[in-house]
Amino acid sequence: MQSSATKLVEELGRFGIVEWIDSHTLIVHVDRSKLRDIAKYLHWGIGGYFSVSIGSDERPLDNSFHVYHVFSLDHLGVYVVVDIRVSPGYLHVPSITPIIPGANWHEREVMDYFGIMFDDHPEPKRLILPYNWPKGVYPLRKDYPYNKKVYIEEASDEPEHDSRFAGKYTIIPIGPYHPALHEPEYFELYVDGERIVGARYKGFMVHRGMEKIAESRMTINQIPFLAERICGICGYTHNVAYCQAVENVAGIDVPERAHYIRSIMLEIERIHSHMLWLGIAFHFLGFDTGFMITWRLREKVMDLAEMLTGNRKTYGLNLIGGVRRDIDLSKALKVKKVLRDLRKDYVDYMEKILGLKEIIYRTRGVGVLDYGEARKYSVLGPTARASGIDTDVRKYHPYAAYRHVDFKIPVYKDGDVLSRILVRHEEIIESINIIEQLLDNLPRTPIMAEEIHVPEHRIGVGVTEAPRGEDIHFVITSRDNKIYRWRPRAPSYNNIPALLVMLKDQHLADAPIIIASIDPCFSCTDHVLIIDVRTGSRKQVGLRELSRRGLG
Amino acid sequence: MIWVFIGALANIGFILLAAPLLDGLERKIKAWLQNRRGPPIPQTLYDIVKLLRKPGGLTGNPGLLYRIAPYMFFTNMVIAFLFIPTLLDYSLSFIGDIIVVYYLITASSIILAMGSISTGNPFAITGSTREISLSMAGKLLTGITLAIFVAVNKSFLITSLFPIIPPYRLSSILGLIVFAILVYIEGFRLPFDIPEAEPEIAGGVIIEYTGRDLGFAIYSLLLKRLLYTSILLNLVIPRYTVFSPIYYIVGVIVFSILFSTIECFSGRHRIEYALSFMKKLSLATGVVLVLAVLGY
Repeated sequence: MQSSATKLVEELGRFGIVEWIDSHTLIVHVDRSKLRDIAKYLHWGIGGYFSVSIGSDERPLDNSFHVYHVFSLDHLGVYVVVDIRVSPGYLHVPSITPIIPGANWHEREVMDYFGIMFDDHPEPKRLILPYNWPKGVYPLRKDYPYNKKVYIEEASDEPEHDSRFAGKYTIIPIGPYHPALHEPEYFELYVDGERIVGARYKGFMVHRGMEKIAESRMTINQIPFLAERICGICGYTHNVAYCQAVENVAGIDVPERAHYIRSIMLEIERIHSHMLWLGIAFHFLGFDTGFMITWRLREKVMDLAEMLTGNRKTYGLNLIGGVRRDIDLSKALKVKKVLRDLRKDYVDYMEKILGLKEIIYRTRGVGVLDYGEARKYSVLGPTARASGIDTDVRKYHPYAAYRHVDFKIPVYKDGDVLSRILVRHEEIIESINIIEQLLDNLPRTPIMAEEIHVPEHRIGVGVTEAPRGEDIHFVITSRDNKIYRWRPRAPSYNNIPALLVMLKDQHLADAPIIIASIDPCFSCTDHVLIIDVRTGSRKQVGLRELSRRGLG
Repeated sequence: MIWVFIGALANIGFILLAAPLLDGLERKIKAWLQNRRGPPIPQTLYDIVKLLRKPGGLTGNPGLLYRIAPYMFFTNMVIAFLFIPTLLDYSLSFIGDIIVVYYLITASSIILAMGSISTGNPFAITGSTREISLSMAGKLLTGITLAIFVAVNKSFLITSLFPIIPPYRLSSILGLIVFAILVYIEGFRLPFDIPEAEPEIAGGVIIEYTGRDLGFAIYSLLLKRLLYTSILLNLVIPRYTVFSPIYYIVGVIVFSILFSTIECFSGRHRIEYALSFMKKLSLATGVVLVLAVLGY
């Protein structure tokens, strides 16, 4: 491991200056001419995957902008941050989207927020900001005050429909409010009879500007509570990822017991999130009994969370350096008892449910994302594992107490909705096992680090395996107990673009379950607009006139 | 004669009350099976009463067919019930009344679907095309099954078909089984509630209705469900005894329990799977019809 890491440093040395920023994160300062080579090398050459891009306005520090691309190398347990310095006089960076399609949204977000242009980007359009946002106003730049209001006067010139499909096919609008969606976002499906021929996605309707608020007016130890509010389902994982990012920068020695408690709560969160998802999936398949069963079982997990943290959700458990509440013996015993019963009930019910013909029929071979496409879009978590990618931050970049437990990573090769159901189903059982192991070996140490000193202007990367996949938080520290730059990236950000691949040529009836199958968390993702690629012309649907009339 | 008419009207009064209550019962049974408490049994009735008291409202400028569809559907169902004995043994009858009932059932689905298409709402259109496909298959199957009983009894008079009496013939037993399946399918029960499919197309055929119009549309669907169940029941329960009303009430409750239990453990089919299922069933039923004509 050590030697392969050394070899990696040597290899990366070909592209630029390499430094370790903590024990498992490398930074490579590269010149723009080498950017595509290193991206290709990291994503396609040595089996890593593209994780996130971050823009940063560092003019007050070194009179330049920076773009950071982060790659994960699972087999080495290393994250590589590729740093490109961008001069304010020439805000251009070569785009890596032609090489890694998954970088599309990431780069467009940087364009929107910082005005940095990505040369040769295939789709250089606005992603998050509305089309009528004034030109030349970049909200995440440091010279833009967080409380400044922008008055939008022009009408939006955003195209209403995808011109390749509109008029030829029936348009089925799913969203912004639709029974199949529990958050506001918009899918426009172009259907020929019952078959989906194309799709358009528009999201980022619940953007809350959290990054700007955190950077401008919050202290280091307030941000965990804001981070937890990124998501109403898996908020704690954001909280942990942020804390780990800062702890990694500061080299804080977090006590083992705090690590264990964090892992326990993360697994409780995973169980309730997966059960919630299974229930919704069954509901979309018209099997409401399955929905009722899984949600009833989930309530037991919610009760556990309430007993351990005081809240069903949004635990407010973490601070930099540790946790705020301990788990005593009586609580640990109760948790174990509940989990024992839960496992029995859950396995029992799921065996029966997964034996139902309709469930299998409606999910097998539906919404397929094959291995190649999954790699292209850098999908994460259960979506990746259902497409044959063996990835799990808990295993390959162990954090908190995961290095002390033994667990399996379910991987399926079919890439269909059924595989995604099975991956999550098995993960629930694994999570119960993990919590039991952690409770059995809970170390007797304090729960909060004693000495906390955060150095200025250093980069930190914190990563967790959220229920939906790798959750990464990138921070640059600042003086006065503040954070200079904070970029949280939820896994759905990488998973949603792959949806349009999954939806193509599928039945309209399967659209809700396909959309749901990645367990999309739109509030986490906070943003988007993407258009499916399709060629050739098709016969026109007979009812199109009527449908157009309805939309007009 | 006048008593027959009064009896038939009494039947109508009964089914108007029974259809929503039976739906309420089914909701309660499903709730029990899912470990829920569930709404009170009259909840569906309350819902419909509430909807009927609200003004209807239509978006855009839908066609006349769409405006009148719920009312025509409702009227059709009520008229159809005049020919089917339900609680009491009274019903109107004349030679060929079975054709009238068949027409009323078929026309209702078509009116609802065609009206829905004219709204231009893409969800309604998708729901309607599904409704038309399913309805064509369903009505074909209904026609073949009724023809089996007509062939067995050599009569176009509905009441002469009821009940199936010894000596039992193979074709009438098979016809009965097919009709029982059909009652389930035509009742918009899972996995066959495809034209509405709430999570997919948000109500489909009835998406644009609100208030009174929606109330009548839902009421009519419930009546249709009960109409099919009543025909099935009449094929099996003894009629013209003092116990007829008891047999009928027990019968519909038993079927409600049975059907809601099946529904509780089903997911929704995709349309093409449902259609292929009905195609196979229709072919098999066609063979049964041939058997019936041949005297088996």
